[in-house]
This record gives sequence, C-alpha cells and structure tokens, in this order.
Amino acid sequence: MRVEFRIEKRLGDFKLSAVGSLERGLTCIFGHNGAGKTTLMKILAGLMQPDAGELKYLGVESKIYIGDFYVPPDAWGLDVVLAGRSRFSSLPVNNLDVEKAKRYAELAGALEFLKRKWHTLSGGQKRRLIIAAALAAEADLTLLDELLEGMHPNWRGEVARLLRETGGIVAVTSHQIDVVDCCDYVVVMDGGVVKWSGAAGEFDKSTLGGSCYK
Amino acid sequence: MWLFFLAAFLFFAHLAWGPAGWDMYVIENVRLPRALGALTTGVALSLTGLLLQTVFRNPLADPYVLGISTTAMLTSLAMYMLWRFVGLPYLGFFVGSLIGALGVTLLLLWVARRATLLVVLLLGVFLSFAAGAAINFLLLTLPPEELGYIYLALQGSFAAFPPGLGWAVAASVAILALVTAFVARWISAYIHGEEAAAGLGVNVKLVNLAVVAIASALTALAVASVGPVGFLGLAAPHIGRWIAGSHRLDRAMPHTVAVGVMLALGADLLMRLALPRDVPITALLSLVGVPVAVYYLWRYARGV
Repeated sequence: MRVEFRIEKRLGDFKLSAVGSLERGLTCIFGHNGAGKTTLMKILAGLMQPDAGELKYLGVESKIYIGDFYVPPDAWGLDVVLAGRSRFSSLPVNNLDVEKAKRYAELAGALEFLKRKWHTLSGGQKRRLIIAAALAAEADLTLLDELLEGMHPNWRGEVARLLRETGGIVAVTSHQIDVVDCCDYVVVMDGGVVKWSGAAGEFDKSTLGGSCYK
Repeated sequence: MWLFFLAAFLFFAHLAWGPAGWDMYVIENVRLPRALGALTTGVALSLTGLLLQTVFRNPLADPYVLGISTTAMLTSLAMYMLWRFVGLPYLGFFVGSLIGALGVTLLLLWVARRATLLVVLLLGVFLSFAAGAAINFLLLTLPPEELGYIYLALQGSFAAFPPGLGWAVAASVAILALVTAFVARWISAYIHGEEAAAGLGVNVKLVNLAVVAIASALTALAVASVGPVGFLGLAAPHIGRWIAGSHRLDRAMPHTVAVGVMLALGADLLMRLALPRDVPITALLSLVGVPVAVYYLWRYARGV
C-alpha cells in the first residue's frame, strides 16, 4: 500500500508544488498556516483536482478525508460516528453499521457520548467521536486535517496507536511539533513545497528553524 | 412501529367516520380521495421538509417557508391558463407546478453555496410574498365562474385532491420516497456539510441531483393536487427526529413520514368533524407548526 504524488496547484497567489509519498503507518504533515497542508490533503482525497502532475494510489481501494466537520448542535453522538460509514453504501445505515459504530466508539473512548447531544459535549469529547467516525470508515487511506491539535499528549498517543492499528495509510496535519513523537513518518511543508520527508526517527526538530517549532 | 399503526388507524378513521355514516358511495367518492390526499401530501411535504433541512443545514427550511410551494402554485396557475388554449389545462397545472418548484429549488441551492443561511431563508420568504401577490393579480384574468374550484386549490385543501388522477399522484410520491431511501445514507452525511460528505466517500454530484429532483417533484405533486400546504414540512421533520433519536435522514425518515401523515390526517379529521365547514388546512396545521417554529427560532437566537 502506497500513495505517490507529484502535483502542482495554484490557488490565487499561492502555489503548491509537492513531491513525495505516503506509506502504511502514521504520517504527520507539519507546516505553518498557509504552508499547503490542507490543499495537499484535499488533492490526495480527490476533493480538489491538481493543475498538473500525477497521483498514484498503489493498492489503495478506499480513502476518506475529515477536515472541516460541521455537526448540528442537537445531533446525537451516534449520528457523527455513523457518518464514517457513508462510503459503504447509499442505502440507510443498518444494524451492522450501528454495531461497528459502537465498537469504534468504544475504542476511541466515546461509547458514553453516543447518546449525548453534540452541544452538551466538550471539545475533547467531540474529538473522540470524530476519531471514532474516522476509524469506522475502515479506509485504506485516512486523511485527518488538524484533528490531533489541542489534544492531551497521553490521549494523542492513544489515538496515534489506534490510527496505526487500522493497518492502512494514515496522514494527519499539525502545526504542533510535539505530535512528532507519535508519528512513523514526517513530512514538513513550507511555502507550498515539501521541505523534508522521511522516517520520524531520523527527523531532527532543529532542522525546521522556524521560531514556532522551538 | 406504533407510529405506522397510529397513521393507519387515522386513515381508516378518516374513511369510516363522518356525518353520512358508513356509506360505501360516500366512502369511495368523498372520503377516500380526501384521505388519500392527506396521506400523499403528508408523505410528500414531510419528506421534502426533511430533505431541505438536511441539505440546507437549516432547521427552518420547508417548501412553504422557502416559497417553493407558492411559486409552484403561481407557475401552475399560469400554465393552467396557457394550456387551456390547447385543451389540456390539468396537465398544464402539473407541468407548471413542477417548473416552478424546480426553478426555486435550484435558485435557493445556488444561493446557498454563495451566501449564509439567513440570506437563503429571507430570499425564500420574499419569493413566497412575490408569488402570492402575483397569484392574486393572475386571478383577475380568470372568469368569475371558474374561481370556485381554483380558489379551493389555492387555499390548500385535501378536498381538492383529484379522485382519478389522485392514484397516479400517490404512486409517484411513493416512488419518490423509495428513491430517497436508496440514497438516504449519502444524503444523511450532508448534515456535516457537502465537502465533509464528499470526504467521507459520498457521491455528491449524484446526491445534489437527486435532492433537487426529489424535493421539487414532491412539492410540485403536493401543490398541484391539493394546493400549497404550510408547516407540515416544517414541523414533521423536527418531531420525527426527536422520536427517532437521530439527526440523520436515513434513520429519521420513517418517523418523519409517519408523523407527517398523522398530522395531515389528524388535522383533516378534526376539520371534517369539528368545524362547520372547511378552512384552509394550513390554518389547522399551523396550530401545531407555529409553536415548533418559534421554539427553534428561540434556540437559534440563543446560539444553542
């Protein structure tokens, strides 16, 4: 399983020109705001078409992307996790989907939030439900945009382990460098280009330079 | 499940109960079309309300509030008058209704991509006023002796449901409801936004097409057969979601449809039995609909 990309995309003044690959495991994509992380993710997810270049999905049958995720304030927790089952069919969700939703909610520590209304949940509890939705999608390629931000470090490690255990390719974006301890691979983006990429073990935080990473 | 029993009970109560007692002739020719009209409209409008509320992510969306019904009424009336010249007034009525409903639904969805919910809602309300005003002027051109039946349809009444053609309308609504069920899971993901749905693997092009076609066809059928009926599409989805315990269209759809049917049959039964003569059905339905709308408006204003 592997994704290879060599793409170019122009959005107004901004130009993305990214080359790289994603492997099985957890890849963390770091960069400042406006570095091109989300644009790259959306192109990998197929939500945006690149102007030029090529994308290869080797052995990747299914993919999901979770970024901006609105939830009506009076929706229930279970509704959110069930959204992860969207790709399997267009027919109404069935008992199997509900069972899977419950199992993944339990893994993500969100079982007790399934019957709660969205607006009664805290930020961290909401995050767990969205993670459960991402897991419930059981996709080969899971792209999560800024989902690990502001998460307690212990819990972030737990989520990273869950994501790795899906056995697929998982990529998360972040601008918090302390996430790096949870990753298998690291991609650093700046000004629309990939500055560095490789195994997390070989990553030297000081190579980034930028003050916000120190 | 009990919802469907209750709806079925109301349907038979509607058939069996009335001043003429148990009279097969009256049942077949008066009560059955009317009960079928209530059933069909209940399904069509509650489902449209649920679709629009899901796709617009707006708890106040409803074909009547958004001016889809009134505009469909206007265009159907206009087409009725045009097609009289070729001798097919009734077909013109249905075609006109569909054109109006489709036009407004497309316009509102187009605006929804470029403006906020408030703008969409206000535009719908403005359209409703404009169409309502235009209807009044259009009626001036009709000879007075034709106004009787048209007036009934303009007010929105299940008594206007056409006996023969009604079965075709009911069958079309049933088919549209079935089609909705086939894409229900994908439409449900729209509560998180269209791009979020696409990210989760939903074919958004197909869903957008299905929603426009289904919502406008259902509204058009309801408007052409019984006239514009308000608040059914607004209240039923809210009550349906509460009972279902889910905000998802696929899980709340059966409950919403059952509630819509119950509201329509119940209101019409009440009108037939308790009132000296017919009033527009919206008047009775509003007794239920207005408090629901006010409750949601209050919550929206408080930002809950």
